[in-house]
Amino acid sequence: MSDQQTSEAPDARSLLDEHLDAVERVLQETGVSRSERQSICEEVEGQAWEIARQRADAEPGPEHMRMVLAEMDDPAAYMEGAEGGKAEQQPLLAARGVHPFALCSLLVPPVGFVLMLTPLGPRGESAGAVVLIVLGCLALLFGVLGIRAIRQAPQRYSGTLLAVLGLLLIPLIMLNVTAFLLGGDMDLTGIRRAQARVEVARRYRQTRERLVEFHRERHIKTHGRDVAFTPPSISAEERDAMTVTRADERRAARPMMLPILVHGIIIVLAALSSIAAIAGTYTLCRLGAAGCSPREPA
Amino acid sequence: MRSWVSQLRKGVTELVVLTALQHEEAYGYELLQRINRHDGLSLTESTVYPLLARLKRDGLVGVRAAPSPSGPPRRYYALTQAGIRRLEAMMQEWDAVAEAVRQLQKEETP
Repeated sequence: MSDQQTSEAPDARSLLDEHLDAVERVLQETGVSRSERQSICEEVEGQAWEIARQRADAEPGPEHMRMVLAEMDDPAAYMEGAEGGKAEQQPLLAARGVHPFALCSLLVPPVGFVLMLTPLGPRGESAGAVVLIVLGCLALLFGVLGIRAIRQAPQRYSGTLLAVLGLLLIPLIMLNVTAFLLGGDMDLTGIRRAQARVEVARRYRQTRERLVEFHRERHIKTHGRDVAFTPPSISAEERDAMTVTRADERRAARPMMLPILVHGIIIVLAALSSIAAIAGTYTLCRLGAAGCSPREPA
Repeated sequence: MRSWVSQLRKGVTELVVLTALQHEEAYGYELLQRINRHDGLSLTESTVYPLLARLKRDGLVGVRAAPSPSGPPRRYYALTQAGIRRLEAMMQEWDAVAEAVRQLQKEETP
């Protein structure tokens, strides 16, 4: 909307502006973004000027512009055009419906956790583990079947993401728990403490050996080699400090990279399983907000 | 019947616009004229311009501005690589549907 045009054909300009304002209002009401409204209005404006200038011998007057605008779409027509675009932006879930297998694959793991947390009688933890494994297998089965069914169904279904999340959730959590249990035996602090204990014991032993050697040499100088040498006595505290358990020796010998790696894996798996759970919940919420029936075909 | 034709045209609007841009860029009104030269394809600005804005937002078309002898600067739309891929995918679907209907027609003909 340049000043030049305004000065050349003010009446035509104001007619066009009125039309553009009406178009913009309709677009705004239908939720079209500001930049898109501007882009659409510029196209409408360009078209109106181009047709008007083709028809007018000189500069287009209000009568030319009025004719042009009468031939162009009414501003109300933009409601349909913009809503058509919005409908295409709707998530696929609303348009196609989610395959029930995909839903099941994601719903089974939470059921498993609820059952695990519920007291299961005298069997307790072992029964909970069995339930988790069985439901984990079910979630895997539903996930695989869901993905396969979505690909092969004659109707178009969505839910592949749900199926993949459901399929991954329990294996990720089980891997996480395994890594955590494994990591418990490999905590860095434990290894450092064991290494410190081994080092203290080694130094005590070295000091003790030097002390015994010193006393032996003094004994030989004083009494000769024929008299039997008795090493100096050792206190219970010193004896304890020199003693290292096999477990400490094993732990101190462990490479530091392994626990670092295990802890890294735990963090990554925990993050992945959290993301899977959050993404699954979010997708389900969106599904609920869209009022989508699981069996609604396209 | 009119309703069906209207639905059909609405359904292929994006395909039509992408196809009209596949060989050469065009500004909005030029694109509209290019499409409406063909009988059976009747699209108006209230359908095409919002669609162009959406295609631009989705990265399926790129835009460059150039001065116009009449009115505001023209915005020339051209397909991006993503737009070309989308058009190819849509054409495949279109061909598959058309072929299936033809096959069905052959089978059902006594």
